[in-house]
Amino acid sequence: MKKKLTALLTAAATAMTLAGCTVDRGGSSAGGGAGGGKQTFGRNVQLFDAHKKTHEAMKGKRIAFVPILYKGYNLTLNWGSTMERAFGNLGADFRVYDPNFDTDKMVKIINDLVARRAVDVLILHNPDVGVLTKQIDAAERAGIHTVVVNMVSSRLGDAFIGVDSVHAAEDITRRAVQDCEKRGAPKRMAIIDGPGNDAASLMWSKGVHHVLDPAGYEVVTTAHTQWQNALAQQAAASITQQQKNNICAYMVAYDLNAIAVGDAVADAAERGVIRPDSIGVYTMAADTRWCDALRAGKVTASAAYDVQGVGEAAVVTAQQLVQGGAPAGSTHTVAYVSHTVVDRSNVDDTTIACYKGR
Amino acid sequence: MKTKAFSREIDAFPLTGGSRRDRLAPFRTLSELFGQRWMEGAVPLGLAVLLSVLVTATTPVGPGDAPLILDEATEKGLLAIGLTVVLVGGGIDLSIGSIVGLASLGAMVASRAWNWPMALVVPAAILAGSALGAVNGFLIARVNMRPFITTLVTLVAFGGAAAALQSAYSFQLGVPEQDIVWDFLGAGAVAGVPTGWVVFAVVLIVVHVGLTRSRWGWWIAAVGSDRRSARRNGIPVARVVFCTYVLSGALAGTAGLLTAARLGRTDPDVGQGWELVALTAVVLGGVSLKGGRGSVLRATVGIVVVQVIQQGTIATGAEGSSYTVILAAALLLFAVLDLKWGKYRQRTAEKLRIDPGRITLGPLVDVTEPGTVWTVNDRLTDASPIGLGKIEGAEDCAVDREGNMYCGDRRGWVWRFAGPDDTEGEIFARTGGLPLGHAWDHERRLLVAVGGMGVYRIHADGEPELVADKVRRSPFSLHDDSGLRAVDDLDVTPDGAIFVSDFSTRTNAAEYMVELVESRPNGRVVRVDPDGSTEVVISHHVFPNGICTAHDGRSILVASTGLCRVDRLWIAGPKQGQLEPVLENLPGHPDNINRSSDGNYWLPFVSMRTPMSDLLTKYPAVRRRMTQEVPLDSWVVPQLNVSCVMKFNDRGEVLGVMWDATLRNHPMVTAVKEHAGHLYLCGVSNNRVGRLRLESDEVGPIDPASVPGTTTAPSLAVVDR
Repeated sequence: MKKKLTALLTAAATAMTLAGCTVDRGGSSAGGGAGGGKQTFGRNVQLFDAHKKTHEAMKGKRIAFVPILYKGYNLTLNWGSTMERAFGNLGADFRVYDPNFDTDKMVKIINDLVARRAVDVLILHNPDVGVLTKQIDAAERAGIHTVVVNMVSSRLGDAFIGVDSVHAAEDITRRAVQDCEKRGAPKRMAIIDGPGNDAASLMWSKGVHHVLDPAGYEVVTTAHTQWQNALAQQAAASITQQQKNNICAYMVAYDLNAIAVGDAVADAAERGVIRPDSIGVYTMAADTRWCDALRAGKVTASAAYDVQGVGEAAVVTAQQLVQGGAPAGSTHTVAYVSHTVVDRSNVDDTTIACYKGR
Repeated sequence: MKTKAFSREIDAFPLTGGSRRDRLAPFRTLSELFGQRWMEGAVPLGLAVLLSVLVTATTPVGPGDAPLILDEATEKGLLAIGLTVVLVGGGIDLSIGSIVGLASLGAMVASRAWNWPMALVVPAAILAGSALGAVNGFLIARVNMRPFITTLVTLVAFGGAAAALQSAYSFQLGVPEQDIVWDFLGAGAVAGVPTGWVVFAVVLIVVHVGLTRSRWGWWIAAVGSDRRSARRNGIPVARVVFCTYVLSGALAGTAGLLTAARLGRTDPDVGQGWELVALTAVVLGGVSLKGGRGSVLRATVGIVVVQVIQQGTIATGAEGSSYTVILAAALLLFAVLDLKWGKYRQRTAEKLRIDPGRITLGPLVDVTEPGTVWTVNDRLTDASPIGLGKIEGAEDCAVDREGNMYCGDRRGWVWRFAGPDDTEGEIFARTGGLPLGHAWDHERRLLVAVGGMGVYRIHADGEPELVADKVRRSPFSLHDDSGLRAVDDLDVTPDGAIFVSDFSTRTNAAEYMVELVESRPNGRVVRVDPDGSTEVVISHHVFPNGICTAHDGRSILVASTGLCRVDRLWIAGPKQGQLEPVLENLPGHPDNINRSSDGNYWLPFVSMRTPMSDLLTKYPAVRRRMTQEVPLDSWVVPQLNVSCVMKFNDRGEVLGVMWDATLRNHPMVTAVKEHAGHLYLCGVSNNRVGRLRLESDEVGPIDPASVPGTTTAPSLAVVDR
């Protein structure tokens, strides 16, 4: 038995050595002719012809939007409804796939769409910097254009569209620092981000540190919430309890989480753990509910960005990719939408603040 | 005169008078099917495969999805293999999902945060998995904690550790590390086959071989089946149990490494819920949750089915949670199936094993009517006993030229009584089976049909030598009918071939009562050539019993105990290969046939027909209920305690009948041998062999013990044909 086993193993090892091991780095074999088609437009265009050609180019094109979560999530609902309206008008076949916060499932959905060639343009919302690398590669090879929204992936795809997170974080952190200086509060802040391994969290932390470090501020802790309100509230409550008034602001990466953090701070103030209005809650983006919280005084300010613009830009980019006729993966661009700091004084006058789900 | 090979075996089924439908024994077929060991997993597995076919037929899942399904099946399949081993060993491992998470995140932290070289990361991940498995193993095997609660606790604990690790290093984790080894594991290929698949295939083969072919595998199955008896058999139970968890952990660690390489998920939920997927897969694959039984190959089919179902929910864009619901429903359904099927399969197989058939017998001759050839008399009563109280159930005997008598014994012995006056005897040979028919071959060597073993030749020193114990197995038969287990009577033809009756391919020789009640064409007649090769010459015969070469050596007489008839099988001449009736509708169930010295044949009856037993042959359902609900000794059977011997000639005429009306000395006669003017009366339930002096006008010049056509004795067998 033992001898047989040894012989078998040796044979298998030899076979493998002889057969050779290979590594498919994917990216090196870019697209070929796949996905490449004729450009829709030339240098000149007839007025009515353009309308017809644009519709013809998009007619029947299958476009899939795979966010990390869709139902009941204003941010992606906003993008999705914009896309649905725009692609619907153009006669394209648009569908949203909802992995419901399950990365495994998201990967499987994308794999399935690519394997079945069931889509022409993929619009992705990457939960994790590295995780969709192979899926984007495979899509490119299959001639499928990829547009990544808001959370950049280490494999870029044809285009990235989203908020300039680092810049937005810097802007809002400057505002936070100003507020802290005004109050003469301690130079200490806490970061509350998402899972911590995603582009949004990483860039948010980076931007915050860019401002805080030279200003001599200390980040007492970085808590990860997995984007869950309950976890955000829990983290804020325990940090508040530990730090009491020895902290001046929470830098929360996600607006809805910021509401939960605001609740925790308000609760601590009510119970007398901290002085009222002694801790600011700052975030990025401004959902309608966040705006309500702002008006209620629970949160302080946000680097609101053009959420609807992200959806619109994705629609535009998808049209450009289809009309441009270049093979999938032959161009790589990163584009940002606008952002600005909003607080109670200007929130009702700022068009990009208080976005809705539809 | 050489017996040519028969062009094909004779199907004796028409002799039963049954229709084509009577040929089928549906209950018994079901019983045989249920009795197959592979049926344990086949039913759940069949249903599972059906389910996946249904999914592929009703959803857009197609061949294009195959690589995706296999990719997923690879990582979760490793878990399923580990879980199968643990389940076979009688445990359960719920912590595998968290081990995957911890190993996966750990490997990425080691590579991205601690900058370990991959040569270290790869073995470390697997070792870490083993170590976590060892924690389970220690708690379960040494501390004797319950597997379910232990691994449930470690599922939570390891999951928490994974989350803590992710939280501590989330920043570094977010930045992918480029390394050829990562790429090779995640997207590489060995000879064109993706690395993950190769790893899985190697593990599958090694574990399958280990589980089914090695001592280690048998130990695991033994421990899983019954810990106590495993311990009593000297199996190191604790060590075996410990090892199963270590293996499961190591495989989970490997799966974690592969998933880290393939997907690079860096959130703390990696591996969460995988234990449910693996568990569903193994249960779908027919691995028993009760332990002791399961196969990694079937578990692999299970995981593929689970992945097909998942792909179905994804391709149809079903609601996110629907997959979990479907998975849970499938797990529940198949767990119930496992429980009930496992419980009732054997029971049903046992219950349906005896499936009586219908046979049609002619009108019954009334032997109690005075003045007929059958009229009861006392001719056998005064036979003098040989070996009284020493012999137990000599079914047949053989007497050599010197008058030494050899007879069987149900304890497996062959007795030898030296000369006509020896009543003490000695044990001549020990066969180990149930010695039934006796005959002499050309060289005057004793041939014995040993029930349960086959045909044996017994040398002068009493050493038994196997002549034949199997025939070729019938094709398409669920039941293995290759063994000659119910060999009953035999005789030798002039060319040296041995014809032997094998009264049932299903029951053992000792279970002749079952065969008598079942009345199915389960028996056959087999020819054993001098070179030892065997061939079935008559198949589907109801309880073929007596075998006797006719006086002219051109045919064989075959008695059917079940059908109460004797037929002639021509082995030479123009009718070679044909079966023709000699005696039909006998009033009893005939047993061994032997030649008489006057050119006729002796035929005893093992039992006599009664109106009641005749009625029962028409109602198989009554007999089925009887066999299921009444113990064997209360079965209604033909009248067994009789002693009746008849003499008949080649034309099928009954020449005379002898009885022992007292039933005191020879209550059952199963064989009659004639030698030197005496009849030797044997009975399978008698405690003696009887020796009866024949009238001089009953004795002829032929030596019944010699093979026809081989002696100088004149043959009287001139039969009109």
